[in-house]
Amino acid sequence: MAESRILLGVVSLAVAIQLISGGALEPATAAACDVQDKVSGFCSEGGIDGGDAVIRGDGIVDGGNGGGGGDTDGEDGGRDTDGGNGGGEDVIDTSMRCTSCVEVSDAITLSDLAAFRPLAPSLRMEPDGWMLVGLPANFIVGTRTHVVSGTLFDHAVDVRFTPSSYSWSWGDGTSTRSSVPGATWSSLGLPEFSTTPTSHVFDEKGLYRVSVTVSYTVEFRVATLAWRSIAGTLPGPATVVAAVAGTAKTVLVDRECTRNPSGPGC
Amino acid sequence: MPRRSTAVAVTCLLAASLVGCTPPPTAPPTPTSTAIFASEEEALAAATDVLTRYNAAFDKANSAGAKNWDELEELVTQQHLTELEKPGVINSNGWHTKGVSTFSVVSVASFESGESDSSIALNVCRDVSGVRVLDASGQDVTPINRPDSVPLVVSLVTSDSEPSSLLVAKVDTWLNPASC
Repeated sequence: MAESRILLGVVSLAVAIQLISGGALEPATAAACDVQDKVSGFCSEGGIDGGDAVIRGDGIVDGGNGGGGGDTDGEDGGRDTDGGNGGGEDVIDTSMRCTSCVEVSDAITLSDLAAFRPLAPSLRMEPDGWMLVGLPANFIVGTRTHVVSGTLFDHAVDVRFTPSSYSWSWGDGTSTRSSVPGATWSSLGLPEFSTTPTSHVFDEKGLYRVSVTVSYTVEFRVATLAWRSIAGTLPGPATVVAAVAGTAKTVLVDRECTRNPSGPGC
Repeated sequence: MPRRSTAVAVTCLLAASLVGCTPPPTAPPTPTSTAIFASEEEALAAATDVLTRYNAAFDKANSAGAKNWDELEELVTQQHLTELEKPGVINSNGWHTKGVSTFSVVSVASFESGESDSSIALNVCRDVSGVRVLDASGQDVTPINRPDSVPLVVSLVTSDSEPSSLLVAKVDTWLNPASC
């Protein structure tokens, strides 16, 4: 049997995901990711723009005789924000082969942009809402690895945020960074007012606004493809808790002061 | 024949959901004997040969500061040469490379063969672990996030002037991390 002239009419849907880099990468990453950098492997696969993971898609719906699985035009990735370090372009090769199914005259180029933001963590402390001057107060961030989903270009996009470090601003002019989110004294098996990796001692009486910012590592995936990481870390939204620092003196009371407020010592 | 018709119907249905699908062309089928490449294997062998030379010339150009792409002229389409000549990181910073890369063809992304032209696209992993980027003073400035293996889709087409030879027409990043 004579085979058709076109052995394979290719209808391919190529989606390029372009990540716009806003962070401090190498000194002179190209503004646009052109062929030289693509072949060299310099096209950043990850980018973070402020508090957002920004993923851009450019794609071509390409049919007929054009051939080539995965086409994409080299669109400028540097025109977004922050002086836009080179956004990489990735081609998802989702070619569908369609025998003798041809003649889509011109390639259609589509473009889309999606930004993803991690969920705000919770912040609690013990003692709850107050601390004693000169003794550690313990702070605990409630956050865990989570996925934020959206669509890009009619493709499901999942962005996964994994907490990596915690920046604490204690409200007294000092700040520290921890690698753990913190845990309660009881779960750590420690007595109250013990020092923990996320405890802080306030030296003065007063009202303090303690805030924590969680830095996340970010990965994304399109459709059911494997997860891909984005370079750098993304700072999540700050969470603040207010607490009063006071002093304490030890007195003997008849009963708890809440039960017997007028008792001696209360 | 019935099997083939079914295949056409199914693939057309798939394609229709994306871009619409027109009926098969009415032109009579042409025997493969006039096709430039008798088989995909033959085209793959030719494409791999071109890509080997392309890769070597690419390394060489980068080792000299990525300024001169003349050696690639006979291996690429005019359009791709224009693309290649757009300055990238190495050229813009006055850097150069040291070392050579290798590549492996993972799969054929597409293949199309006709009597006047043919095209083939390859999914390729380009191993750049042996290539270091150096600045003018010879200090290693290789970007820390550069992967050791760069996934690429390389599209080649037959030359207009010499239909039996293939030219690199396009190189794109290939998103299929499981394979490189």
